[in-house]
Amino acid sequence: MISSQRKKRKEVSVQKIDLEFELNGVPVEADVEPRSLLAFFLRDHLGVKGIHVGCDTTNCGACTVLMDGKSVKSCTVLAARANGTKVTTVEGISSNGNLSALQESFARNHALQCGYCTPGFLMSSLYLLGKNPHPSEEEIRKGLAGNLCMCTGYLNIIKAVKEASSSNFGSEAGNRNNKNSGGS
Amino acid sequence: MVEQIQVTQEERRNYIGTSLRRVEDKRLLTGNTNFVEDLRVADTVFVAILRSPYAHARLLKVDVSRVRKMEGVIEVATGDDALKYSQPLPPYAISKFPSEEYCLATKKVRYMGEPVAAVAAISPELAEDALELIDVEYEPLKPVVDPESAMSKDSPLVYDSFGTNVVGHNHGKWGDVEGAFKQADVVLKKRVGLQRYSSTPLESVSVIATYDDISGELTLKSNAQMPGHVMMTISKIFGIPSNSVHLIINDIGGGFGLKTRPWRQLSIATILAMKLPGMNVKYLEDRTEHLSSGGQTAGLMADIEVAAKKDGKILAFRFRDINNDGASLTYAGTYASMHATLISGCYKINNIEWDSYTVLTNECPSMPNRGVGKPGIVYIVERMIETVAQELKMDPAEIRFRNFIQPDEFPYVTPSGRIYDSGNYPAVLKKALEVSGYEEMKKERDRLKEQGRLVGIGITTYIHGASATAREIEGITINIDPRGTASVRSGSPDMGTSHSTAFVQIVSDIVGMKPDDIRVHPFDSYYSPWTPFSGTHANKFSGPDVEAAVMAAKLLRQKVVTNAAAMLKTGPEDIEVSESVAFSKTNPENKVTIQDIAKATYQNPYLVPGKIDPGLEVTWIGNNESAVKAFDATKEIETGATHQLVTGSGSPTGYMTYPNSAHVALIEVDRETGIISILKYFVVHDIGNVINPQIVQGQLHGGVAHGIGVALMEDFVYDEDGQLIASSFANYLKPTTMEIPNIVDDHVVTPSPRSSLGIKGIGEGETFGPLVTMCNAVEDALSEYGAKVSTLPLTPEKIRNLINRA
Ligand code: FES
Ligand code: FES
Repeated sequence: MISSQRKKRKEVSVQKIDLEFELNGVPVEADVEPRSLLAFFLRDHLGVKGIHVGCDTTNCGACTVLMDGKSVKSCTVLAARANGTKVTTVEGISSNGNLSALQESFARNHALQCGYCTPGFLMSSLYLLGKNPHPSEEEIRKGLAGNLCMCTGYLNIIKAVKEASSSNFGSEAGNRNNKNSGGS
Repeated sequence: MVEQIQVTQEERRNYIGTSLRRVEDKRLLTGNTNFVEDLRVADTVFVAILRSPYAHARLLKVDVSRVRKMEGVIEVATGDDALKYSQPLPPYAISKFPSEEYCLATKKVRYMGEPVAAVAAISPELAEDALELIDVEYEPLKPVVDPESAMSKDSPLVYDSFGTNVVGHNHGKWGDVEGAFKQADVVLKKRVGLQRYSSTPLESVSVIATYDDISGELTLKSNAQMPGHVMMTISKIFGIPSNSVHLIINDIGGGFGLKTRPWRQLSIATILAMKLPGMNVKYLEDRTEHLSSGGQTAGLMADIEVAAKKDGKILAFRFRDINNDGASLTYAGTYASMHATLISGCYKINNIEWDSYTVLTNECPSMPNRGVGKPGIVYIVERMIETVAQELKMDPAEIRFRNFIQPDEFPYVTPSGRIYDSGNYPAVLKKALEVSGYEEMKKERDRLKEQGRLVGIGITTYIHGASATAREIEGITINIDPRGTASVRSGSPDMGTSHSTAFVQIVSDIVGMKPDDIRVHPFDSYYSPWTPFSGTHANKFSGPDVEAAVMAAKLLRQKVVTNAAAMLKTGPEDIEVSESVAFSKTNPENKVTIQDIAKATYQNPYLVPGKIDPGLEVTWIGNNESAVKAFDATKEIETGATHQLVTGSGSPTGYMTYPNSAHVALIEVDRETGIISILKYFVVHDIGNVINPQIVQGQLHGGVAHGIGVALMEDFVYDEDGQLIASSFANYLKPTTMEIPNIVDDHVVTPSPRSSLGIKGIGEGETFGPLVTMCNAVEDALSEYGAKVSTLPLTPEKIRNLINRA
């Protein structure tokens, strides 16, 4: 039965464009449909699990990644735009299973429940801390206003970012952003 | 037999009651997740669903001949397939009318967004494109959107064969209502309403369905939050034996009730899977689909009449409520029935008349949402109390103290036959007033008002119903394997609710193991025990889930103790177990690890001298028997008890535990813009003992935040043609970091006598408070205008209208 179904899967010819970029420090070469959006390309074609699609209308931030150190909502960026850039997803922010200071702070402060929004919040927070290593509560609230969380009510997320920033976190985030844009 | 087990360990708790760090977090923080969208498997086809653009239309033709020829399209399903492969979607609470609704529309469409046809293609993009090649002919019909019009004789009918849109009616009358009204000093009338809203889990519904036509097995990898109902329902809809439905639930990105009954989504994927045996049929509902057809609360409109004495004592009230359950019987009637559950709130009011209507309209079908009809009845009772306080110029705290059920009156039987377990309502409010500095806050408000600012205080006190309805039972298996590590399998999936951490805490303490030695596995119907009620809903974890875990852990501990005693050549009464080591109490040096006990138990049990129990596994299915029996006393007088048609019999909606809360807020209204700022927010609640304080606080924050969203901005607005205006997060507004104030919380602890750990539920309850608190605070802030609020959300536009009208 399975094989007969497989035969039905004719190749569909669509025009594709070549894409080269760096994903979490690893070079990636792929071809992609011109209309393909980055979020779906990363998730469905490259198997990136740290991309979630909570809305696809730029409202929820669950799909946030860093592109050359800047946070972007990948559901509204064409995959083609990643060409020649360095893209960081949540998979790229911990090393060898060791949580980063920010991730640690999220865990310590119970800043996640279902965890679906979490990669997006981590990436937005990293971007914020890269720009502003010691943000005030108000600045954190503003910096994360583009991310929705339906579970936590945000307070523990704000607290986690605050706490991460007051441990010497700022330098870590700064380094990471530099690394991403600088090309290591 | 269970009662005889001596468990000294549970008295010595190392983990229950502590903020043990969540065992769930590391995976979630690193993107190492298994949400359905994360799962990539070979031979996958992707589903897109064509949905009705009309709220009400006759379906004249669905022609799929063009789409079938499209490159990349593998299979198509329409209403004809639904008729061929499936049964109608089952109603949950109302049995009077036969269901005519299939997962794909047949003959008629009844709401905007109703599924009409589905395509499976080799990529999600192609599936989406293919929808344009399906030719559908509709004959638009006049829709009915307003529930009150839907009740009139000449209204268009959502289901023609029913002959009416009014599908449910409850009536209850308790005490001497007329007599009480005659004795009243004041009689007041009020109309209040709640819009249709949703907690909108950030992850929509998703499923991968696979059908094996040789073995007849249907595999569903889904984020459904009630596996018990899925197993009962899907097996019935498709006539597949339930032991051949393989339901696997990995990560769930929030549920809040919206994932309890995903019958349409699961059924459409299943039909395509049955047409494509061996293929993995993947459907990821998008946000617009979820908002327009994934389920909403029932809208509520209630007319209240209340009789009170001058001293603030409420003598009686009567109310008539109309519940708009949208275009489906699948959950209709349940919102209304919940009103009976908490009918008099935390007050001693015995004369009540309730007249309740459940109405269908051409809007999205109703679905459970964080508390179902409980926020509605809390809203009704609390807004009524506030109205009386305002009329009598009485302090809103004072009127509540005068009407509370007193701490020595438990167990308290409500007029509608529910039995509250325990509580101390005056203590909770007293603490809330202390914590919030209420007296000072009033002075601050008055000072600011004198400066011309619109500042107001809102208070509310209410009860939740928690730990699931009294007859629900849950199953759990706890196993210590031959290498000494423990596995927990429960019918109750984690959807952000920290079940795994809580189970680890319970098993650690009761069995006597290190948390690191315990792992909680995701739900898998082939290996996890389940009951018709299995799932995460109705704050159920604190009820049957915990009771089953405690029972199973005690029995497992008994096995560990028996075997340790044999190995250590001492009596079971001399054995203590802690941190994965069993030792003699009289001679602690005489000890053996759980790992070695497991080894002996599995590898050579009959060689160990003395009595040994081969195997270290316990499955326990049930609930705390004495707790459940407490409900027998009132089962005859319970009103509105219509649940569980899925299981074949009605079941009361009395809850196992009844937590309660007091919310206090200080807000400011901007006179020009009408924008509300929440300056301070306080919550004091009594949920009995807690398993993990940090997790409880997280639930509290999330609940209050959702309540604030409903109070201030969330609204499924339909126009008169039944078109949903709020179909994305751009116009169905959710609160962000900018709107949620810091929340101060505190606790009063009245352990529930019905729980073996003395706990009550948390999760739903704190969402109710802001609905009332915000209204009360706004009326206080706008007191100079005499403004009265009747409906939510309190949008800037609505506030400006209140100011301008005055
Ligand atoms: S999925 Fe990109 S912002 Fe919501
Ligand atoms: S933790 Fe569930 S959406 Fe944020």
